[in-house]
Amino acid sequence: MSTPTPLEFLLMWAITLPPLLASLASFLWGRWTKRSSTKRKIQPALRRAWFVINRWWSNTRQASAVVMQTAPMAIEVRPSHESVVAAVEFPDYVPAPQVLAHNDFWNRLVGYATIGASLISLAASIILWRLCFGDAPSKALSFSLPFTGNLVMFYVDSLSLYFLLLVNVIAFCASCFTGRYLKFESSTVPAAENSSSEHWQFHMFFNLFHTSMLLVCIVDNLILLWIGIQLTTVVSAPLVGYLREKREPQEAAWKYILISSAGILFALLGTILLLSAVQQSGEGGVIGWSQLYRSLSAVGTSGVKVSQPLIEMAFLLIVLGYGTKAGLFPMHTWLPDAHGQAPYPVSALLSGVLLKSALYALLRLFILTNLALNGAREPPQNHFASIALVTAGLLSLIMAVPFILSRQEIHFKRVLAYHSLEHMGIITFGFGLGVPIALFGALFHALNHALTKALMFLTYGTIESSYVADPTWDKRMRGILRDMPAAGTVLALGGLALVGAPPFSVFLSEFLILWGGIKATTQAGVANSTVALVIYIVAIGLFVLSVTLIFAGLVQHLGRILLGRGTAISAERPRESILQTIPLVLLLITITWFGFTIVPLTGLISSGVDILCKGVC
Amino acid sequence: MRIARDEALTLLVFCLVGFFTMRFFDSQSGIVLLMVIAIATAVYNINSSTLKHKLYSYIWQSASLVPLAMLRFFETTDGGFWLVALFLAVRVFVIPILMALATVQRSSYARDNAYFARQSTEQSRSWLKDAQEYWLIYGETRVSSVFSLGACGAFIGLAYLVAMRVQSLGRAPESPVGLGAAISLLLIGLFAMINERELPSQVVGLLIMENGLFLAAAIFITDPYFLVSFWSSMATFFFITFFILWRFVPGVHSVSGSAQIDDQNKLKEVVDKPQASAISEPGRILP
Repeated sequence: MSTPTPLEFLLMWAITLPPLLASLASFLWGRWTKRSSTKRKIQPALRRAWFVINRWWSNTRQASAVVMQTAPMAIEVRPSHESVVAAVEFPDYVPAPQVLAHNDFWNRLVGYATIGASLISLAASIILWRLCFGDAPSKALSFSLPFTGNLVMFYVDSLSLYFLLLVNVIAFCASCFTGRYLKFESSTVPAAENSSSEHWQFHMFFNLFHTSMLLVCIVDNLILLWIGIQLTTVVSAPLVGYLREKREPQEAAWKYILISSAGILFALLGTILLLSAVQQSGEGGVIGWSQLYRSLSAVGTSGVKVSQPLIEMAFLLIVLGYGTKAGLFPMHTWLPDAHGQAPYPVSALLSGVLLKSALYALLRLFILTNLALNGAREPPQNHFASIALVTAGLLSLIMAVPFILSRQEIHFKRVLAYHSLEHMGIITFGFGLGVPIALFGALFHALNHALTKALMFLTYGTIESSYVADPTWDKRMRGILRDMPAAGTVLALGGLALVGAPPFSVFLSEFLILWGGIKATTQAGVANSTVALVIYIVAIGLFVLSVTLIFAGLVQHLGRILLGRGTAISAERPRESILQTIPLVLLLITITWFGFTIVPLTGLISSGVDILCKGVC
Repeated sequence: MRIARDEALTLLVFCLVGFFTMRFFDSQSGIVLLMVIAIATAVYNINSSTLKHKLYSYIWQSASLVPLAMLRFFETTDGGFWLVALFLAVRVFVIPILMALATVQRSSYARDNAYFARQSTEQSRSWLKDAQEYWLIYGETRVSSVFSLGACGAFIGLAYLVAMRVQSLGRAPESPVGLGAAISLLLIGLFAMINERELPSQVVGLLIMENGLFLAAAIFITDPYFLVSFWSSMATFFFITFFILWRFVPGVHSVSGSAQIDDQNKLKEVVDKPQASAISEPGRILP
């Protein structure tokens, strides 16, 4: 562990601060324009500024015209007065004062600020990865917030950097679609009924959501980690219920905030019990993950003893608590509602990275639990934490099957949400297996699921918003492939990627997890543990069966919306624009590319596996 | 302000109980007594049929935790417990105000509705008094009192079994009483959330769970550094409670026209017509 160099320090701030500043800017703009007195003040000021700029510009152009004596350039000087300012017909368009004072212009500007902030954060995290962790993936940076002593400590190792990259990639992809979504939403809801037409709220919460997930990935203090997870709930619930005039989003937001808040309390109790057990073994005053990681690595050799049943109970509470936010069974019930009702860029974030943030918190405590239970002990080790994760993962995977196989015509976004339950189950199952290849596969699957699910939500949202011009569009969610061939193809290929069809990356990561399962079974066979052998064989059988059934289920749902007759009249067909399809195609290419090679990420993931392996492998 | 007077009185009584138990017995006895009060208030909460009684029982429960935090200070001499006690005391006064804000209807729907309009025409009443009238309307539960009592007994028994097993198997430093009480409150709070039929009562269940966590923290945390972190986590949770009561309860109530949880059932009907089914319809109105 090392203190960051000035460049690393700068990069860390460049990762975390831009979304926070963008949310602050959105808030300030929102508050400013809300006050009509401010509007009355700002509009004349903008008009005056416009007048001064125009006069200066026309004088400059006239002077240059005289000097150069260029007759062909027609310069028309109009008489200037209060309302109609002097205007010169020059090629560079300068927005009129009315445009400057209009909300649309500023809404768009706030949208660009959101995209810019996500881009800066993403670029900074890539630079940090390539420059600082490229040669030394096992490196770890630790620093504290000024004036807080050791209370607010930050810690970045390859595991947290991997999740930072994941959050930033998906946040950037989602931010590119926020403007389009808000435009679509403004067109569907009459202005008189639309209190949410002020887009600043959406952008503010979106950026805060991004910031809170970044915070989760870099905090060292375990209580602050819990606070970070709880903050993700607070700032994402208003996004889920963004459409305040509609019942469904409000209902979904209510369920989401209430179930998440109740579940997460169990996680805090688990964390308190775990820390209390560790502290009473002689580690008083330590609540930083990195310090506990170092000191617990010595358990078993230094003779420090911890209360094993208390730690086991603490871990069960932690799985229940953080499992609620990670969408694991049995506290997953908020997931289909929230993902189904949220605006589609938010659904991409919720499914792509919010669940992974909670999983990250769970993994950090999984490592500590394994270290506290095993430390440097030689096999046979205590596999309680692994068994808990395998059970939670497998149950989540199995529970997703009937919902996806259902023949009822449920909203496609809900189907995608049940896929989140399935994939979180697969990832948790992979981590629970506790062999390096499965851990590698699970980490890689987290990335693949995030990318694929973001692609699916964004594509489906784009399609949904394209159909809105058709008054009977709600009856026509059929034949998308015929109406919108490009977006339909991306949705079809994305769907195949999601269910783990080759050659996409999800297939590769699922295969690695399965390979890990077989390896764990072989190890149990070598160790002559008949019970473990039977459990592993049954678990792998259920895993393969569930994944196969889910494949069939999604193909059925995709067939329902993609195939069939499209819109009968060609004039009513939704139009596709290249600009909206390009980012989706790029995402699809990335998913396909990772299906063939994972070389760029191997160092980072392997280093993450080394951290995860402590006390379990 | 009758409710504020009641809150202050409750707080005073529990502080005196804690103080005299410590004076005549020891601080551990005082802590155990206050834990028993906390569990008893949770059981009363489950069995009461109006939001007013539920809220009062919550106030008693929170008030019983204030002297508990003080007693822990006398045991550990950690000043952080004063901070926790102060925070709990503030919550005793603030939560009813937030609940009143959440339940008094100030939305356009409520103004147009005959029932609420009748209430708002009585100009002489303050909104806090209006809220207390509403609290008598809310509070319906799903199961009978006998079943609730049985469930509470089962939860308390389960919690103590788990706590005793943890203590007997390992080297758990504290007696199982504290851990058992904390888990009991968490389970009873969770049961309250499932059992309630209305949105504001469901939030009271969440608050009981939060008190369970306070109890666990008061018993298990001995390190000042840890206590400050825990206090910040509780402040975050308080902010969430504020957010739920300030934004979500009135929001859901106003858009659906009902505070009944059973009326929030639009998502069960969602088929592949997302926008068509998203049209707001007024739900069932309270009696």
